[in-house]
Amino acid sequence: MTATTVSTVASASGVKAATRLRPARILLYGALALGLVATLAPFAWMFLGSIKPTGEIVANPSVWLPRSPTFGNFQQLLSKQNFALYFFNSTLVAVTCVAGNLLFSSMAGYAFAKLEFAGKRLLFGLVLAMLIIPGVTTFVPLFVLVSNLGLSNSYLGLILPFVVTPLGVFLMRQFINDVPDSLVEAARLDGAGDARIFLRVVLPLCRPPLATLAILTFLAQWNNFLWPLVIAQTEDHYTLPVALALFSVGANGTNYGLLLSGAVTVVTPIVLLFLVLQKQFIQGIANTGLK
Amino acid sequence: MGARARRTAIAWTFCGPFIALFATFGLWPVISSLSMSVTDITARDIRTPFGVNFVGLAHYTALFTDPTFLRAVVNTLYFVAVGIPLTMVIALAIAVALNSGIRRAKGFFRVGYFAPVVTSVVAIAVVWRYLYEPDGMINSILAVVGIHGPDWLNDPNWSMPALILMAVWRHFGIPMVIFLAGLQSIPADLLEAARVDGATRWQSFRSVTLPLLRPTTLVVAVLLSIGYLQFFEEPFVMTSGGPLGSTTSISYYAYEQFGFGNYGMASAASYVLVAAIGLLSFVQFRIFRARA
Amino acid sequence: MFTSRGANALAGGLAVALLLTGCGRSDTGPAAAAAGAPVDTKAAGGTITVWAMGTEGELLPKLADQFSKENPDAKVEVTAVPWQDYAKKVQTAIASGDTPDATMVGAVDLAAFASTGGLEKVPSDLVDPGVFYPGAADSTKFEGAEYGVPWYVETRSLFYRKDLAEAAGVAAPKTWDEYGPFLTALQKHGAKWGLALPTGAPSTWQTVVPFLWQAGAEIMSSDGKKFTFDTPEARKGLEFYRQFISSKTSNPNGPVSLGEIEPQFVAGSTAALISGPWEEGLLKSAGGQSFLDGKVGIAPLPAGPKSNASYIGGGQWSVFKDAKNRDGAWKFIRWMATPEVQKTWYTVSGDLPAVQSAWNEGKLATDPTLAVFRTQLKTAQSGPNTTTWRQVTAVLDAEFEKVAKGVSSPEAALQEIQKRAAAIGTGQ
Repeated sequence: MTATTVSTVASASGVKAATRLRPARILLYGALALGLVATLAPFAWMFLGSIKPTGEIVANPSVWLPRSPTFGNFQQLLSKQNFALYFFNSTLVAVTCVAGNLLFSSMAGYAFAKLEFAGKRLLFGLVLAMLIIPGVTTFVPLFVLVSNLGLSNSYLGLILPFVVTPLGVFLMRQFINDVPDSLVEAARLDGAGDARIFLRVVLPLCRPPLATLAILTFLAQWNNFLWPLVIAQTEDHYTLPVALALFSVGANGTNYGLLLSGAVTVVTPIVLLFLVLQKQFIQGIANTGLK
Repeated sequence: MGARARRTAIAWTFCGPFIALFATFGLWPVISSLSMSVTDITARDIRTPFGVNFVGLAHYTALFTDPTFLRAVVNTLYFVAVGIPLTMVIALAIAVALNSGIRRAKGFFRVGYFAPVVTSVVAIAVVWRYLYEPDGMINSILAVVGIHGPDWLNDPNWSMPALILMAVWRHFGIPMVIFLAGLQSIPADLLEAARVDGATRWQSFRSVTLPLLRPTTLVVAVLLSIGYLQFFEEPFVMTSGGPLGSTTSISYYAYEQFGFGNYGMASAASYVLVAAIGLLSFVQFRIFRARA
Repeated sequence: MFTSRGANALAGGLAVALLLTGCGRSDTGPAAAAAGAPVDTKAAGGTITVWAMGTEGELLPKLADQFSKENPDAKVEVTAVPWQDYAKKVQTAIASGDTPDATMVGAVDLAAFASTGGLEKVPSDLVDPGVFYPGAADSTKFEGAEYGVPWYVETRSLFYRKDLAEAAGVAAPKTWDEYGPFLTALQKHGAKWGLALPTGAPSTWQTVVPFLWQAGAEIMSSDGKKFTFDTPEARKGLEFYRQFISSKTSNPNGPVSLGEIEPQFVAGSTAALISGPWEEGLLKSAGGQSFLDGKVGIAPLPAGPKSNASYIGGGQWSVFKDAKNRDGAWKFIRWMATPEVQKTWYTVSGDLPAVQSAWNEGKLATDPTLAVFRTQLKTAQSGPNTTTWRQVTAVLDAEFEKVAKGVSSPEAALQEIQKRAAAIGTGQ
């Protein structure tokens, strides 16, 4: 960061203390930049590694910059049959799960927050309890269940178990709880039914937590490996992580070039999603977690 | 139909889809696995799951006499006790720095610091193993300041710190964003008032910012406890629980038992973990609520 | 026995109902036939669905096409499955009864899959087990019956830096007595470590247990009912392993991850390693073709007091009990075990044939590197086929690690292994 930029920043910020503490400000930027370099170093290594030939990736001592950069890894990856299909499957599963979570969680969140009904406390207690159950615990019974519903090797089988999550309901309930009751009551006095109140009053206010939920759900589903692995019985239902494991992890060795280029392929959409939604995301967390 | 019944019907319409899916794909498998933990079910029985014997709490008592499991408990506590505070301090420090009035490049920093959260652990494990080589990057940097770094992943005393550092790197992004959000919700005039009263930055941070951040801190602490007690991916991709069992966690132990086909034992180990997570979350709620 | 789909539908609830109704294990097992029902010799028909892992899964369709040409009514549908966590996939499929017709099985996993009752026994007279390498045929047996047909094999031999050996004027060791001096000579010519040995990473046992075998140890009683780790022969073998480390021939911190050792071997800091046929490919990508041709030597493992036994692994084929086209699946497997098809598969994939006679002509008969593996395969052994073996190997890896790091003596380690292996049992 150059000195001119810093001074522009300081004057633009218009905070009184800022101009007074210019050396401190430079120090702050320096520290932040240093921290950022340290944070992104492994990340950068991954990106650089994805354009190295395998021999350079595993070289010892390791090298940072590719000596003979190549897009061979990506070409190899894209040349694998059905790669577009795996990408499509991943997108379909992740997007459907996001949509399901947004819809069903906000509906349930509205009921838990603004409506009175028998069994509400017990149900919400169960939701909270489910937040802390590790996935590995329920894996086998869940598979037996889904397969006996006749859903193995189907998109429904990939999607249904994750189309609602306790986290989603928890987030939405917390947020909607803080929507002033007066707003809801006013609408009710105007003769609006619950459906109308939910759609016209509550939902428009929910953009921040919905963005948060969208990112968290997308992240979890996009990276999910074990479930699609066992539920997909033919390759046409594979998702990206399953396909990448197939191509890069062998019985006696790992193809690091494919692994890294695959990782880059998987990570990029999520980074883009975060870039687009980051403001909403941060605001969403601000408004949910803090009450 | 009374008004009360009508309202309940409406509420259930709103919850209905969620409850149906949640009960089927959430609760049912949990009840199943909980009951597995009190039977002698193994992989041999998966085609005849009813042909197993009830063993009561035998798995649970067996767990607490198994030195490997006890070691896993100690390792998990070590990871949690060091990892959670470290993650919180780093996340808070960066959030405070990002919130201290800088404008330029703020979004850039925010995305950059968040990036590790979205990376794939398998790919990133390759990188970290190189960083931790005896003559890898971390030790090269230490050598500059005259420290002879250890053989991180092969030394039973240093393997856990190495994994903690990696876990902190992978996870601080979300707490950072939560803290950042919390900081933004603190009214500026409160800090201004403190400044007018002659408080230094550090003083106003301690007496104004920190107390107001308590609810945020609670959320972060609970989220991190849930995540960190399930400590699994780092030993799985980096050390396979070694060297000499120094990075075997409860989750890793349960995973291994599942792999051996000891489903009953594996489920029991998982529910010990669930109990620990529940207990820790409860304690945290009590502490933070009491002070708030 | 509840094996119908209907009962499986209830299985999602597993033991909830059990707690209420108080079912328990029945003492009477199913009447066990020694082999599956015979399969006729007519051409195969119908759709045959199979799972195959990794590269094998990617390449198998080429072979399957040829099968369809010879059996016009049959169609083989191959699903390529990642190696990573494939055992979970197979086990969950068995649990639900929702399986393909056949699957490739890694040799170590056969017992675990067979014990669930989800695999069919190999039909009598399908193939003659005598045509395979004995170690491969052994690894298909579980509780006295055969559950798999060997397909390809792999075993481990000694890879060493030929250039360093030539510079030192030493030839590849043939016996334990020559082993140490050979490696020391390579170290004198520039290598920091003589031999890379695993020291606790998963599958350490696959390299260390052969030392025990070479010394004459049998790690399981002949009736397969109990483990016998704590014997003088085993102690001798484990002591031999320990000496590599205590004499600084081998690094006490051996390789942990796959692909870690090759760069060190290329750089010359490690002079030798024990690995299988796939190693050539890894060394080629780490050091290039010229390195592989000019500097890599390969020799059978040096013999101990008893033998030069190595570990045998590989892939075999099993048919699921819930298969919809079991006849077609067995016919496909029978076809893949013929010498001609085994040779074709070697040209397609590079996998070494499990059928001995497939090695009698072509590159398999003449290539010097393959000759080493061929010799090695004659004495190579597989691990015991018990359901608990995987769990025992975790104990082995942990205790061998203690020996390597000097925390435990070979004697104490073997006593501990014996104690814990006995507690785990053989699953019978």
